[in-house]
Amino acid sequence: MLELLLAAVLGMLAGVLAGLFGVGGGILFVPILIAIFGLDQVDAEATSLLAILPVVAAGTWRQHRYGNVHWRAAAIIGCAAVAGVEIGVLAAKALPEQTLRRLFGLLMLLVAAQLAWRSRRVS
Amino acid sequence: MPLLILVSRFSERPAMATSLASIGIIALVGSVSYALHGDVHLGYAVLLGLPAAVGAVGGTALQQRIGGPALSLGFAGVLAAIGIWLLV
Repeated sequence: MLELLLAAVLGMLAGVLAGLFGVGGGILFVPILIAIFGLDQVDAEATSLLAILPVVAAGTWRQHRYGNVHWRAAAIIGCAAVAGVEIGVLAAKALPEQTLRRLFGLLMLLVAAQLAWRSRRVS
Repeated sequence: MPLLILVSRFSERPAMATSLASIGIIALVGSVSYALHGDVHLGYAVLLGLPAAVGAVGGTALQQRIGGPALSLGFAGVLAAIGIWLLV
């Protein structure tokens, strides 16, 4: 019972982050599904994708009402990303997991630095 | 989202909203594909997804009250934390 409550609270927190920053919530869903429910990596990622759908529906509905959604751009990016998944899978299979993890970590830090630099310049 | 801001020159709120909408397409295709392979646990997805949907409504409302540069900086902080976690 405590596990279910913890998952629901963490799920809500993931939703707040998703709504706040425009991410799906998978960043938190996958570790929650592995740590609390003992799912393996593949099942956790698969279940996370389904859990993202209500988050996206609710968040996008609200953002549409605020007038923030550019539907054409969203459709182009979404379809391009679906097409790009296959390339990502090939790259993921070609590289050792540790290398992939480090490369992704470096990419996150690089993007974070660029966003921080831009926000300082704008403000 | 970073690409929309850094490359396409969207401002923060439209970039984050558009990114969220585009994730819907990816998640829909991905979850159908995984479900056909029997990898999706519907109960756990509902358990996480429904409270998260409520949280997302709160998050989007909160977002409207925060300035664009502060949103970028906050997201940069989240990315940096994940990046460090992956590298350590």
